[in-house]
Amino acid sequence: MNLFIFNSKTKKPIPRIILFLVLLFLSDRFLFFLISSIESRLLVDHSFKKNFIDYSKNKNFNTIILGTSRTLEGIHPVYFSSLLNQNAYKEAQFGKGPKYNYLFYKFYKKHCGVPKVLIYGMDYFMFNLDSRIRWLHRFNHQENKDYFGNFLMLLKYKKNIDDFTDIMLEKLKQGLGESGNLVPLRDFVKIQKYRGVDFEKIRIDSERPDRFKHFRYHKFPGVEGDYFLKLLEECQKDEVKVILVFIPNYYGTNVTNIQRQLFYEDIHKIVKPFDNINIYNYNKIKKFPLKNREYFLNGGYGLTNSHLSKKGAALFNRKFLKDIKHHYD
Amino acid sequence: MIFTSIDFIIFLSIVFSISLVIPYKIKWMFLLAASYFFYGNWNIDYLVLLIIPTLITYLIAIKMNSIKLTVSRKRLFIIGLILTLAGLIIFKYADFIITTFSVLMSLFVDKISLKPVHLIHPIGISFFTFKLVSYLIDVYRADIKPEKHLGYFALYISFFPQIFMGPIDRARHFIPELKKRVPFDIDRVISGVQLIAWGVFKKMVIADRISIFVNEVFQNPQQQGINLIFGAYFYAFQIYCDFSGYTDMAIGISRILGFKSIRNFNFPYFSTSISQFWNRWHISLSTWLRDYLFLPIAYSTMRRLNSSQPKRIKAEAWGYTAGMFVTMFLGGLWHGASWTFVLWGIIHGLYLIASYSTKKARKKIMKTFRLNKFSRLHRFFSILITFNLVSFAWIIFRSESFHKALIYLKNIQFSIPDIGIAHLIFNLCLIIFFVGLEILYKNRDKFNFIKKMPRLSKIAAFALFICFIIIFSVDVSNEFIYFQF
Repeated sequence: MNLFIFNSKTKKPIPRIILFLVLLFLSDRFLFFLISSIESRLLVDHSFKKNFIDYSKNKNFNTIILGTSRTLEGIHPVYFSSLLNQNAYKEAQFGKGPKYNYLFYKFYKKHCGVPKVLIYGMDYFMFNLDSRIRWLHRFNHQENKDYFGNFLMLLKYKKNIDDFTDIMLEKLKQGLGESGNLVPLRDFVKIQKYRGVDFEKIRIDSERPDRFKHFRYHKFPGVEGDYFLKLLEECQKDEVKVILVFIPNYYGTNVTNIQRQLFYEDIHKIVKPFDNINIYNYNKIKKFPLKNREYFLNGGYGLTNSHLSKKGAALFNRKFLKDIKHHYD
Repeated sequence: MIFTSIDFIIFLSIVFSISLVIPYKIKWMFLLAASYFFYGNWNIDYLVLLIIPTLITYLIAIKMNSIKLTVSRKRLFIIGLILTLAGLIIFKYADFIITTFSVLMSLFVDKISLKPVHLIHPIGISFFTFKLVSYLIDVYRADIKPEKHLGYFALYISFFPQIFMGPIDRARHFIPELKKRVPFDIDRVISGVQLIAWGVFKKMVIADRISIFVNEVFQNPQQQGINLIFGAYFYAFQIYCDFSGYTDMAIGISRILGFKSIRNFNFPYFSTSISQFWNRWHISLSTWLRDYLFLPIAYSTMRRLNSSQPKRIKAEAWGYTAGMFVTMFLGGLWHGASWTFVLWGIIHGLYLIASYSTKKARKKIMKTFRLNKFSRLHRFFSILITFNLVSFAWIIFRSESFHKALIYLKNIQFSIPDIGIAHLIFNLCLIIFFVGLEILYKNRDKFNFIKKMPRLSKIAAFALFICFIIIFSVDVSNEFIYFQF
């Protein structure tokens, strides 16, 4: 047996490896702090609180809509006013996980009062989400980072760093006088009038491959699930009607997310102690034409995420608002 | 398991650790098991497509070597070639053959339509099949003796760093490598790790980030203006960084395990001609095509034409033209079962034939106008022209069909696109940064400051480089482009 014996030759690399690991650790921390400080100085929306308070005066919002990009594309306040004659405010957007939504609710309650209805768009991966730092900065939220829990902070907060580089690109576009993305990501005023987009060509592949990736459900509480529970408790205390809605995904995405049933069961278990929560699930072919690609921007076999198109959102909002109308009576 | 996944890092760590302690005599067994596990992890059913041709080629090579009679030897060789290529033709080209045949027949017979069979294309089949074919040909030609140890031969074919995307290492080089007793060498391991990191940087930072822009431009070429020109250039860098990034990782992994792999890229976009480009791009494939297709066809054509000179063109020229056309046609087809790949190959073939036919005339012009005095300027323009010719051909390669390629070309304009140029500027800066690093690396021997850097600075620079990769890498769930081949 040719055993790996520690001798002078094999001992030699050990100090080098240790030195490399130490330098990697230090470089990681240095760059992480550098990016975080640039982010907080240059990119944080310090005027958000004042702007929002000024904007929401006299608007009499009785509904707030929370969630991520799926909710951003799926539920539109314009339909609330045209179909239900109700004033809804949508805060949902990419990067706003349960923690952000909880903090926003607390902020909203403090400055605008308690809403009548809170609508929360549910995501299959919602308990695996990190709320982005740039959103959390709005509430001067000091992230309790565990500096010694992970060897590489850059890897742990990779999603936030990706956000940072995307924002720098947006800044570059603005600097060149170009319009940003199709969706005005940070203008909360424009989002209220947003009805979604339709692509010229359908971008979803309907053909089911013989082999494709499947995604498991990350169980509650996951990363920020505790904040979701806190939000529900806060709403119960404030006697707010909570509507949890499973917005339709393209059929292929539903097949891809193989533990959807577990997800639904998990949510039902979480909400059982509460008497003010109603669940609406539109991920059923009987409730919504999940196989019609015109109604979706993306999604498919092997893709865990799916968003409604403008056409799809128009249909979905009509169905959804018809179903929840009685909550406003 | 792709190289940039956590699963693979765990797998490699285990393989590396065990390979350090395992006795030399059974090391091949362990690496073979690891390689089959690696391939089977993708799809266990397709392991059969790897093992059976390996056994067939092994047995036929041994038998061929024992036969003295030329006719029987040739017959056995042809059978071996057919059996080895059968898997590749059936799984990769069946639908292509069926649909092409269907289209041709429909010109003569109404209402004829054959249904494609939709077989799953086993990853890496083009690469390991070419290894098998090159081995068989080398044994037939008596360039090498057949390998008697089935284990080493199977390991050569299935070696996990190379199986998915090459390099297509030759048996005469790599089987002896596998048999070497390799003592632990920290410098070798460090060098391997550095090469892997460089490959990850090329793939996840450069290729994947550029791909966002390239995909958008190729999917929606209308009103993109100048973006379309840069889209072609950026795709050139995307495919280079993607493929060479993978190759660097494959070579780095082989190095860590103690094996020297063939170099596959040699700064191809610094080429001053198309022929030089093909000496620097995907070297293992281009040398394979040269040795097993081009030279036999060219010499065979020349021999047949021998003393006659059809249309007053020398036999050598005919030989070159025939060899080059067939080689690049099949070279294009190797990349994929689509006529766009074939056209891409033909375009390169035409470039090479044109370059060969005008060689003397160009030399004369250079001499007449004394352009050979301005060697640096001449070199610069040669590189620029070559890069543009290659980028144009990449448009065809990247497009999903002829029709889409035409739309792309038609929409090229020197105008600011509707969506703006911020993305273009960002990607351009990224590529300039990357090219700068490549130039630095290429000329590293000229820079004394790199050699004189203290060890601490080198380790710190590497640590910063890893952090840089983490910050700027993009996870677009992009598999490597050459996976599809």
